[in-house]
Amino acid sequence: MALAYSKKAQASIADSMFILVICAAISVLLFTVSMNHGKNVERQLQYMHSTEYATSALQTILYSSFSYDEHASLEESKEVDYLLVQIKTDYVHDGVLSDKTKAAVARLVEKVMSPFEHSYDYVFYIWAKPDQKIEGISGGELGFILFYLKATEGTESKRYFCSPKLPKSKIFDEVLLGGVGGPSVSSPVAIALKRWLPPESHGPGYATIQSYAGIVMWPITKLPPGPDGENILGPTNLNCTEFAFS
Amino acid sequence: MQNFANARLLGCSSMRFRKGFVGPIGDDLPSLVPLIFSLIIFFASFSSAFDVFIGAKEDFESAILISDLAASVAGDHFITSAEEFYKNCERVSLYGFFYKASLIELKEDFAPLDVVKLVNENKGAYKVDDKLLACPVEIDERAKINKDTKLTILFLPVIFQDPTVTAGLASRPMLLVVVVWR
Repeated sequence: MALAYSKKAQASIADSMFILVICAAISVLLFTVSMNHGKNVERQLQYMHSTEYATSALQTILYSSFSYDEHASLEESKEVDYLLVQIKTDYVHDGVLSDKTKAAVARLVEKVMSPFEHSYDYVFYIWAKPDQKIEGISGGELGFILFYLKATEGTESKRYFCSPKLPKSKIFDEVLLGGVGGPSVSSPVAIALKRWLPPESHGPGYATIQSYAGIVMWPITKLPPGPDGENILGPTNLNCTEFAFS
Repeated sequence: MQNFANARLLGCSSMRFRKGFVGPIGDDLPSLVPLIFSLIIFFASFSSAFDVFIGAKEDFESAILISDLAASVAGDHFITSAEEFYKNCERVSLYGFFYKASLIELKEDFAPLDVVKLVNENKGAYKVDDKLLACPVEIDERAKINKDTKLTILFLPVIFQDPTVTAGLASRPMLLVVVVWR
């Protein structure tokens, strides 16, 4: 008994050491949780702002003017019109956009996205629902009408116009969004494109093609390979051709 | 003798049996050191976590505030004249914060923006017929910012119908820059 009484202080040190261990564990937990919370809030805010930017950028691109004179800027050009008018006019006859229209779109997209040039890659697209039943048009003629991609490889940014061989859901849900981190997707804007299908060739005359325009942007990162393991930009996947401003 | 045995049962003993005994508090002093240390660790981490939560909450509130403010100034994202821009600015009511909203020209090679000069001197704000597309145009001396001021900034592209172009009128993409600070 006398031995037990003389060890009272040791028991008290052991208790306080337990408290120290518990407090240290709680502190580590608190620190980790608070750091993660801070990072999550930051990530959410960044996502919120970039989504807001993408949605606003889409409206701005579609309702901006463009210069009919390819060599003159919008400020100096004597003849200007809305870009959407040019897209619709160009599409109506053969369902294909000309190089002039594509260059005008690219120039405008570059301008609007320039504040994020060094931090984000992006896609601007116009897509027609392939399952529309329109006399004289097969589903294969619909799909992506325009697909403009900015991608960064290493330190170099490149621009592409693509004619994807993959369906839209595969590209965005599995390939791009599944492979790149933190994408921001704009709300798509509905566009009613028209197509002239002459009645002489058993067409309905002017047919309305339900289409959507959208922007997807993501923090600069290496693009993933395609679903077949080949280069995502290759002919079996996005089928891209590099584009440079003249 | 019986009393002495009872006293030992109660944990009392004569001083000659209790080596190193330095009194009832003195005996527990070594255990107080880790106890106090653990309390310090706990309260330090609690306070740090609390600061992070408060900071995140403030950031979130500022982000919501600046989004609302930008939405008020941008309207339907199609600004037809300088007058419409000023009218949109008048809709802004902000308490406890200072703000600056400006339209700046979007170029393909966008140069880094000096926000301090934009806020204090309107440097970079677009001008239409001597009208600066910034609001408020003049900032109070006490509200002026410096490099250390904590700012919340939002960029938003909008369309501005510019009457100064060669064609007479063109819908030009512009960047609406909104800055908020306390």
